[in-house]
Amino acid sequence: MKRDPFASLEAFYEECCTAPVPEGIVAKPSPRWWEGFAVPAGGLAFGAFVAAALVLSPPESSPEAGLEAARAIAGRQLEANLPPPRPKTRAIRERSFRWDA
Amino acid sequence: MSAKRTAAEVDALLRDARPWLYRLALAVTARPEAAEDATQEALVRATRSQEKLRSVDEPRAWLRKVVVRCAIDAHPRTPETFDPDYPVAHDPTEAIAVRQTLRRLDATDRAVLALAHFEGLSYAEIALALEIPVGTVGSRLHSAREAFREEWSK
Repeated sequence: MKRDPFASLEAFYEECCTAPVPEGIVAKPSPRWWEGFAVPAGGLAFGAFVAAALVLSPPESSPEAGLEAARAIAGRQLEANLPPPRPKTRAIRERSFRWDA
Repeated sequence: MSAKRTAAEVDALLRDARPWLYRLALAVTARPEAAEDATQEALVRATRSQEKLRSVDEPRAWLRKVVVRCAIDAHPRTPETFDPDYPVAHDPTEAIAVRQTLRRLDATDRAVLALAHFEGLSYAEIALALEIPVGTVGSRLHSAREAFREEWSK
């Protein structure tokens, strides 16, 4: 048998009056807690500009550096295209022996 | 207009208001976890509005408005669970029935009931907390009470 609805509601509110407050509720949340989500638009735009400049601008170069880089690339290509060293045949080994002698 | 409060006074105000805000949110939501979320959200908003809290005439009324708004908007983490830690001083069956009845009501109806019967506010204060015209408070309270009575009898 249910009691009078409003007597039950009052009883519920009385319980709320003494309800223990969870420890997890922070009275004064640290600004750091939410500042990370509130990055000023100006700061964000500046960051994007710097990142874009770093990614898009070519590195500083000089003719010598360019030549050096070209040599390195050519060297790597040449090395890659060379056939593997052939194993020495018996005739070659004998020839070298005679030559050495 | 009252004199501007210091930052320390605002800190003390928020610290002292913490239990009251949670219990009011609990009366509105009838869910401990939703009340916890609503209270924390209200305190975050209050911390962001330090300047407002330093100069507002009635800081308690301002905080009440914020926490009631958060409690109305609070979404339950779990649809229908029974929390064993929930405070039950009287008949547990009846306590569960009240909570379930309240949960079936519209959030604004729960808020009107809590502001009238838990906080014991006047119509003008309820109107301020809910940001509605004073003239509509009586009818809103009447319809909320009727909705509670109807749901209770199911």
